[in-house]
Amino acid sequence: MNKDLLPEELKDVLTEDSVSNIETALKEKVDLSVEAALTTQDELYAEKLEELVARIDSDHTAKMERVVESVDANNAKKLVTVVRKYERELNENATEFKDVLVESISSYIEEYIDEALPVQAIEEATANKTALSVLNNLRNVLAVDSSLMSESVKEAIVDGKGQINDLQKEFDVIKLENKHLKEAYEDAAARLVLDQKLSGFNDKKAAYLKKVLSDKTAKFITENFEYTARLFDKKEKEQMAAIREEAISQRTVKADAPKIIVEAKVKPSTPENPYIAGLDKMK
Amino acid sequence: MAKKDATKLKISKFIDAISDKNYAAANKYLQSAVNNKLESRIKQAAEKPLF
Repeated sequence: MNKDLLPEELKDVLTEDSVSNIETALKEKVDLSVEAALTTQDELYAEKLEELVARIDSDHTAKMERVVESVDANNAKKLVTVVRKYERELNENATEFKDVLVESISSYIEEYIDEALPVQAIEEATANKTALSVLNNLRNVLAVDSSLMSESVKEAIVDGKGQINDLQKEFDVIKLENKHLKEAYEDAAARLVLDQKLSGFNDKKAAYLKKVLSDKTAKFITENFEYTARLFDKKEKEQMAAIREEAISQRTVKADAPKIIVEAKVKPSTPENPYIAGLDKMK
Repeated sequence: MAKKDATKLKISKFIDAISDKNYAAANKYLQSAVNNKLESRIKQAAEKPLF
């Protein structure tokens, strides 16, 4: 410190060192005071600054919240519009597009099939298949199998059919001849049996039996000959009894003889058999 | 008409299967659609009288 600045009274009292010490002490005191004042000021400013920052923050927060709300509302509105547009696109335009796409694919498949399999080829194949089916049905109906389709086999079958027809005709003729022969044999056998059985009888009985049994078979003659013969004997006995009674009734009797009343018999309109008719003629 | 609708339905399913990358199902539906179209053509040809 410059000593010249001090008053005159102090210039003599204070030395240079004292002045220097005083000066140093004053400077330290001033520094401390300044530092304390600055610290106080810093604290005050810091409090104020914090309060300011807090107010600014709250203000900005409120503003930001309003901005965010506004942006959210705006974006939500836009998103709703976008969603509606996409839904419309999906529900209407996409369906129309899908229908158009289906039609296009269908047309493409039609064209591809036309190119790969022409309509003429399909019609020809269908006609062939139908004709084959009809032919198979005809084969089944007419009983014609694959072996019958060969010409050589066909000739053999025709020849065989002719032979079968010829043999059938021959068989019919032989069958007829056999029938005639059988009938002739049966007649001959019947005649033989009848002749053998009639060999021991008188002519009348033999004629009767021959008349009755001549048109019968040998078996019938064998079975019924005895019965027919007995029947003839019985009828003959009856006729003989009738004749005897009639003869008795017509003879001339004695006066004392008891008169036998014989009831007149009603003659039959036609004789029972030729034998009885002969007897009637003899009366 | 019903056959045609069935064919279109199968083509639609074919498109759905292609969209889902389900190629096995897509192949099945496409084959079925082609078969339906071929059957329709053969039926038309068969309805013509043979003689």
